This record gives sequence, C-alpha cells and structure tokens, in this order.
Amino acid sequence: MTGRPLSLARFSIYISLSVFVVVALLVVSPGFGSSPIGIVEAWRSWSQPERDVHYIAFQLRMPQTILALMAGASLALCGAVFQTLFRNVLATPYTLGIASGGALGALIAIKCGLTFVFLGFGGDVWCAFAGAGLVVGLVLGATRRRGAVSGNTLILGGVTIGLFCSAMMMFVTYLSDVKETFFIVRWMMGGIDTIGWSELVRMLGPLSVAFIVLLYSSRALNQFELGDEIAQSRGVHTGRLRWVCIVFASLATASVVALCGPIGFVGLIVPHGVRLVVGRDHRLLLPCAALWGGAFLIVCDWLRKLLPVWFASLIGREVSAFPLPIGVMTAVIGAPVFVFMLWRKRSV
Amino acid sequence: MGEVVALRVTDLSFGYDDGASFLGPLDFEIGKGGLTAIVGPNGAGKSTLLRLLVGFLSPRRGAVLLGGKSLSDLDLQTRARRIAFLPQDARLPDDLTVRRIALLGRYPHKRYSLFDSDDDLRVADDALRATDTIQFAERTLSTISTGERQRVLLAGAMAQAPELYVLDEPTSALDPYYQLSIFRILRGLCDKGDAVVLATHDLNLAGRFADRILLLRSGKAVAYGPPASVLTTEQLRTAFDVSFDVLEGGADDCPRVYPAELVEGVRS
Repeated sequence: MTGRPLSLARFSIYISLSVFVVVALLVVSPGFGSSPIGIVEAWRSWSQPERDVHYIAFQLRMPQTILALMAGASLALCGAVFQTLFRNVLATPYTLGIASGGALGALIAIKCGLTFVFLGFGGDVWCAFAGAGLVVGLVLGATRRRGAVSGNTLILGGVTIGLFCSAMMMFVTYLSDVKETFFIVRWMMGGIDTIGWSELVRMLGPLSVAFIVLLYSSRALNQFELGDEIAQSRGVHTGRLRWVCIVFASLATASVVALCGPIGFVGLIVPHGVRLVVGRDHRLLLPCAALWGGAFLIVCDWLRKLLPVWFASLIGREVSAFPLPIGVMTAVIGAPVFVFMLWRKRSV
Repeated sequence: MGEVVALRVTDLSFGYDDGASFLGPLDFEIGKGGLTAIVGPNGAGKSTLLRLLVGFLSPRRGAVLLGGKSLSDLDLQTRARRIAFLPQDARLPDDLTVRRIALLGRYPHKRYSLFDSDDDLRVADDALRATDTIQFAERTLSTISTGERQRVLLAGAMAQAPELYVLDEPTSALDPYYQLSIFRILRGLCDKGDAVVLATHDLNLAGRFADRILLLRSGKAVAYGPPASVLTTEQLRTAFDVSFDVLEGGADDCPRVYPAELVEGVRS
C-alpha cells in the first residue's frame, strides 16, 4: 500500500473519507457534552438564537469543536513535517522544545498583559512565535555541525531546552498571585474552553498561511526521506526547505499554544498512525494527518467532557462536572500509544 | 569513449573555508557514452570531487562545465534533470517500497503536477526492469538484500532520466555478483549514450569497465587516461603506497592488479 503511485482517484478516496469523518464529527458535536442535549434538538435550535440550547450548542460546543479541529490539525501536521525533516519518528514541536518555547513566550505575554494586535496577530501569538523561534535558533545553533544536523542530537537539544522553558514557566507561575496562578496552571494543562467565535477567527490567519506553505512542500518533503544529498540532486533546495518548514510549523504551533496552551502527544501519535495506513507519501500523509489530528482532538474533547459525567453515574455520586483539561486527555490516550511505539521501535 | 564531451573540468581546485586547497588543480573531460572511474586511497578527495561535479560544493578556482555551461549558472532543477547522484551511504526508511523509490526519481520532471502519471509509472517500471528489480516492485527495502537495494537506488537515479550519472562507491559492501551486475548496468547506460562517473576502490572492475580512470592521491591527479595507461605498477605505488602485481592481457584485454606489499615507512 505504501508504495502505490498516487493517482487522483487514490488521493480522492483517502481525502474524501477523512473529510467525511471530520464533517460527521462536526455534525454530531453539538449533541456531545456535560449537559444532555440530543443532536437533533441541538440542530433544531440552529435558527432559534434566543434558546439556551442554541447558546450551548453553537456558542459553546461548536466553537470548542472547531478549535479542537484547528489545534489538532495543526499539531499533527507539524508533527508529520518535523518527523520527516529530522528523519526521526519522535520529532514533534514538543520534543524539539518549540511548543515549550512558544508556551513560555505566550505565558510572558499573558503575565505582562501584552494584548496588542499587530498584522492581525495578538500579542500572545507574537510572543509565542518569538519564544518558538528563539528555541529553534538555540537548538539548531547548538546542534549544527558544518551545516548538518543529527536527528538524535537535535531531539536531545530540544528536550533540554524544552525542560528549561518548562522550568521558566514554573518560575513565572511562582511569581504570580493566586488568581493568576490558577489561570496559568489551567492554561498549561491545555485547554480549548473557548467561548464564541472571535478566538477562532484570530487563529485562522496564521494557521492558513502555515497550512498552505507546509502542504505545498509535500512533494519536496518526499525527497527528504532519501537524504539531503539525493534530495538536493533531485532539485530540492534542502536548506531553504528545512528553514521554511521550521518557521511555518513554528508559527502554527505558536498560534495553537498561545490560545490552547501546550497539548502534547497529538503531533507524535497521529502522524505515526496515519503513516501506517496511507503510507509515507507526503502528498497524502500531510493532509490526512491534519484531518485525523483534528478528528482525534475532537474525540478527546468529547471524552474530557463525558468522562466525569460517566464516572459520576458509575459510582452513583455527584462529582465535579468540570470537563477535564484537554492536555490531560491527550496524555491519557497518547502516553500508552507512545510507549507502544517505543517498544515497537526497540523490537525492529 | 564517446566523441562528445558531457562534462568538462577545468583548473578545478577546492578547499574548505580559509584552509589551503586540498583538491586540484584538476583538468579532465567526461565524454558522452563514457564511463570514468575515480580511484585512489582513502582521503584522496574522490568523494569531494564527485560533490564538486554535481554542484554540492563550489570550487575555489576553475569550473565544472556541463554541456559547455558552468554548473553554477544552472539552476538546481535544470541540474537535476541532467545529473543524477547517488551517495555512498544513502540511508532510506526501510518501509519504502521499491516502486516508490523509482517513482521518486521522477521529481525533477514534475514541477507542478501533484499526481504520478502513467508516463511516470512507465519510466519507473522501465528503470526497475533495467536493473532487474521489477519483481520486487511491491516489496519494502527491509525485505531485500543490500545488493538488490543498491540496484533499486540505481533504478531511482535512472528514472530521473539524466545524461550524467555521478555515483560514490556504488559497489562498496556488495558481493562479486552484485558488483559485476551494477557495473554491467552502468556499462549498458553508457552504451545508450549516457555518461557515468564513479568513485571506486575496485581497481580491477574499474580497469575492466571504465573508458578512463582518474587516479588521485592527496587531491592531485597521479594519472588520467585509459585503464592500461593508468593501472601501472609505478603509478599505483605512488598513489597507494603499495606495490602491485600487474598482469597484462586479462579478460577484455585489460590489466589485472593485485596488491602485493606495503611500501614501508611512507605512512605513519
């Protein structure tokens, strides 16, 4: 399957199936949440904005679902791109420290109250992008030797700088008062508890630009798998492509982190799973990883809302109806999958 | 040896950063339909020279001319359509299939097209047939031998449909069967009018299949010419610090060389 030529028919089948799944999830999502509202009832309220059901379905749940879709798609797409760029299946915006750098930047913006808007991007996005860019520069600067970067050295450098950024986030939290600390801690757990549509519109610009650039690079990324020299001999500007992909993947990651906080494991396990099904061809892998990354996070969003309700009914007692942080949910699913991947890697 | 020049190297020298030049000056030509072997001891500059020939490195002085034009004046896409390169230690994902590797060779010819056309598939399968790997087309790299893998990589280069193949030790780590089969495939490419330049440590295969041999030592040309004029006791001794037994009149009337003794006291 992985080596079959990519025809229009094959591309259409995989993309249509993936789009169908995402659209189906979007359609049923207004019916899923802590409050029991049926899917039909939710959609009936579409043209009745005065009803509470409409508010819950289309001002709370739908924006959160769309945010989950956008965040999941971005993280999975960036993960797939990084794994190819560094020829390491463990490379993601998180393992390379880019997400932590972005989170630290966004946190500093939140702490300092940098709410300016420039070129359509908010202060938190700019600071997250600056943090992510600084980490990229530090990691690549520290690990490059005569223009070449070893994948393992890069991951080691990324993990180290990521840990440093995490420590600095704790330090910023330590300097905050109780109210700020509560907000920061909840933000660092990863959250998509957006209300309304304005946040989504704000994210749309940077994500669209990043998606167009990264998806356009899919053919050249195919050549990257053969090594820098073969790729270059086939006409790929390897150095330029690497930098362009890193910059735009960092932009997408920073945009997600600024709004949702760090959400781990999506960029790690989704590209891996999609690769097993559709193969290594980036013309198919990248769009499918984005669509399934979005689908994965939508399902995680449902589970984080439904699990406390299910748990409460299971033990027959009232428990907190607060949804779980999305970062906790992705970790609960992602960590076992990640361990399984490591085990398989060892056994190969 | 073909009559028309595919690649001309004039007064070429190279050195890293501000250090002294360690390669060159070199002057030689690679004719269309000709197979040129670059031989020499480890560290002689064979791989560096190959990377200069494909434009990965920029010469400190002199030029590499492809069809009369300097490589530096050709954009990367144009170069890719005319020169294919295989490094010595290409590390590919094990789960890539054989046909996919061949199809990836079509990249320089498909600038804006997203999908693989029937023509791409035909060219890729022709390359797999020419390298006798079509029977593995659906198998992954992890399931074939090192020798078969090398032929598949060569098929990828052939799918690129270049006029010049630049190969860095394409037969290293291969058994005699695959060494001979790779050289036969390369000879077949030359017979069709393509040019091949490769680095190798196998002096006998170079002597048998190459039209010209460039013998390097410490970045300098010890000798350049037809195998019989290069593979001589004196010149091999100068290049390798080894005394060789040279037997004249082997198969195909080319000399056979065997390392006999180390020349003591030359290398520490």
